[in-house]
Amino acid sequence: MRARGPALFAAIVLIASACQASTSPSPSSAASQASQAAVSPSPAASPRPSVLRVARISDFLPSIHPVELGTGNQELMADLVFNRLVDVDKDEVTLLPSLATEWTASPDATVYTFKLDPRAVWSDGVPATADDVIFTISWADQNPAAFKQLGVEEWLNVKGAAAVKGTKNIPEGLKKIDDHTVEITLGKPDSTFLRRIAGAVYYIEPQHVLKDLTAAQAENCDFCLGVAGKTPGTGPYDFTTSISATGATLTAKTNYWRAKDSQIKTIVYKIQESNVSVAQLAAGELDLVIRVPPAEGPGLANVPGLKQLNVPGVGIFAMDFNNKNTDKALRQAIAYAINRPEMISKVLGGLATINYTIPPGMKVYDDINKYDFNLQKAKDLLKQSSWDVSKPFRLSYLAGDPNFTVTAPPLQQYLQDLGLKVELTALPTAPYSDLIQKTNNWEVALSFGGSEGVGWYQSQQYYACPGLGTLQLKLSQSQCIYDDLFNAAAAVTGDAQDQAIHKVALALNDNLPEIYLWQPNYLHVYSDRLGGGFAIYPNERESFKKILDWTYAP
Amino acid sequence: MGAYIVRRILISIPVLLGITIIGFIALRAAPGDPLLATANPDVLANLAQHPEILEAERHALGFDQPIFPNQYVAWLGHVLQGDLGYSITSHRPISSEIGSRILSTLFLMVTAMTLAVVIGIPIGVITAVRQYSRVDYGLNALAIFLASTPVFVLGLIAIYVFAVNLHWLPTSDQHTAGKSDFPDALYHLVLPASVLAIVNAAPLVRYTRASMLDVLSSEYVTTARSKGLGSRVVILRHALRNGLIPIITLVALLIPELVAGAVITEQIFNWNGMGQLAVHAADSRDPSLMMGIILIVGTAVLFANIVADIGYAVADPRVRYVRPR
Repeated sequence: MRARGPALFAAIVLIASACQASTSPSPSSAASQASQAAVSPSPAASPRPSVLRVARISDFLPSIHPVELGTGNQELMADLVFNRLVDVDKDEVTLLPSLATEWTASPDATVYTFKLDPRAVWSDGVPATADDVIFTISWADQNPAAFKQLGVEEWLNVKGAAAVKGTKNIPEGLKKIDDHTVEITLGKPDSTFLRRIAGAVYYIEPQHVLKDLTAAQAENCDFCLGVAGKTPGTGPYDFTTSISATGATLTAKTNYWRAKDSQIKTIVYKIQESNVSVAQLAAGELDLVIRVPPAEGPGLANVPGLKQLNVPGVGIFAMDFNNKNTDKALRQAIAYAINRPEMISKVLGGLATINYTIPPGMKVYDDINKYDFNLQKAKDLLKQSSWDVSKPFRLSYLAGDPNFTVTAPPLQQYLQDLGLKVELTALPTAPYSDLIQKTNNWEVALSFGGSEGVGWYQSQQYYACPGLGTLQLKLSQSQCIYDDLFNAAAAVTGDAQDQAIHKVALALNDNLPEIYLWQPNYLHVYSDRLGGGFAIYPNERESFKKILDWTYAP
Repeated sequence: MGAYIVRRILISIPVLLGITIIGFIALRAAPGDPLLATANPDVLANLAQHPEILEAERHALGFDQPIFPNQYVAWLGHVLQGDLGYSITSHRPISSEIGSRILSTLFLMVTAMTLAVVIGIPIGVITAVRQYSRVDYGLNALAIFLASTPVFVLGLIAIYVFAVNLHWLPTSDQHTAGKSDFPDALYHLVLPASVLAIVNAAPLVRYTRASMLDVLSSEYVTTARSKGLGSRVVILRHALRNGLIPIITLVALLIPELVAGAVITEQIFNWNGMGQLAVHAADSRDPSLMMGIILIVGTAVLFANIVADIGYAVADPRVRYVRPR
């Protein structure tokens, strides 16, 4: 009897060892290979097909059709499987060829002509032509209400788009010149059109697969759900396992039409909690984790074979005000009361870039008020405001999100030093959305994410006039002035555009409908077996578009 | 017995209906808009510009109807036809969402519970038979220590020791990237199943020990010993059978967990099972998915109770489920 306990333990160990022997090379041997790779000839010199195991945080809707595209993981996968007309480089300004090899814009920024790459084909061998472009745009214009996640405002801005809503007609602004040339005429001038259609949601869809698709079917058709073998794209990869809430497997095409095959044969793309990814990194089970919690950096720095990239993100950390409950003087007081450099150095470990209250995609013009920390000035402004300091000042945020749980208490302290009676309200997703969208029982909400750092035009959607009153900003209709200013900037180019953006920046800087506090850095950890042109840029999407240049030593 | 089982099943039907009615009303009445819960800031900006999209979706899902009876009756009607509806986040049928997860959970939980029973009950018997010996003190102390250690602590220690440091086992997941064979699945099962087994075995040791001590001090056991029966026969044939009766309740109560999954363990080991699905459904306020889970788990609870009652009858001949005349 006494020998049974140790025997059981020994049995478990034996089973484990036996199972280990039946699997692929162990993490320890993989780590050893990694260290060998570091001293062996560079991977670029002898590229071999390989499997890249990549993980990213768990924001995902298991769908790939543009009507349901709304999270970073969807966008990254869509970029591997599909192409847009044009792409943008890591600087977020320089346009790159995608399906189109050449493009021109009329001087008034209303007519755009694209020459498509005649080599482009879908995964099933069907040529990708101007018909696919016209189909993609027309379908969006015919079914605008189908887009439940990110909008496709650029397609809706095509001349005659409104007239084809609910029909099967092609909008007046779309013209097929020949099989590989298409002309798009906009309903109103937009100098940012080319840059905006480089967004993931604007990928070109296969007409021969989706021509009979209805708006209702777009939620759950095989193509829409990324079913392997039924989701042909023009990108360098195909899904070989259907996408799910936990990710997908993608395989590189051979003889890719761009005349360059990816050296990374297979991508196992995992969507999972960051704590799981950190353990898998430490055990050598992953090659790349995008967005590792910064606090894990020092621990992972000691793991052999891993490297780290610390990159400023395109998202922002902001305070969104309920403008029905707060006046300008109070908002300005709060801006002066928060010591942003101190927060960044002491709370965020220096891993963030300071914002001067305006969207990060905008230039910090000389006459922008930087609201440097000044408690006395803040207190003076608070006295001028209509706020009753005996009332609770309700600061709300999403429960469980480390971006908020770490920062909310020190922010509460700053506001208490100012003289506000701050109450913290942390709620799960659904009640939080309800509180912000449907009630008036809050004064300020912490927000994190977005993509304002991509460019000034990216911020317009947050101030779009039709959404005012229901958006988190709670701006009143009289403040549609921001939307008008953004539209004025988009309609012109050069100095005129800069002057228009300057006006928007000054208006936001003075009125402070929200305070942009800082742009947090993202920590990305990767195996030293990744090489070649591998890099993760501030906008992660631009990184994966260059995957044909990556190398990997298996 | 057959009539008793049929009667219990018939009684379970209104109980299950009651569970679904309460669950349905509670979910629908809870604060928070399930449609908004799926949206990120960029999406909210788009939705704010097109509120008609939200309204159309709300209407299509029947969220604009009275919760009871309209929405509930509609849901029940579909369920009776085998249609659990669609997830509002994944747009996939609930049956396929649950179907793919429940097998994973059963694989993990059946292994873990079997191990727990195989480890826990014999050790409980040993500690009772050797009361106040070093073995008793040692195993009892270990059982108390394990029973009072949160499963996530044990799980993290196991990952740190066996996966990160020793590299004997994988940290998490159900398969190695790019593999899907059965030996690989077993390899990934070892760590989570062992942790769950240990955590569940610990209380079984304590209960079995207490129950066996009670039985071993009873008069019929003393009589059996005085008749000259061997210790092994007395313990296994006479004492253990009666000693197991309260353990049947304990084990039966574990049955719902077989389908409900172990939320924390699945989270730590990234096990794509029912526990993770339940957390996801609650977090995203996916009402159809949550109702599907409630239905499955509720059925499992009722089934477990019937199994426990049958187990009593098998273990204890004095228990008879016949109506007194």
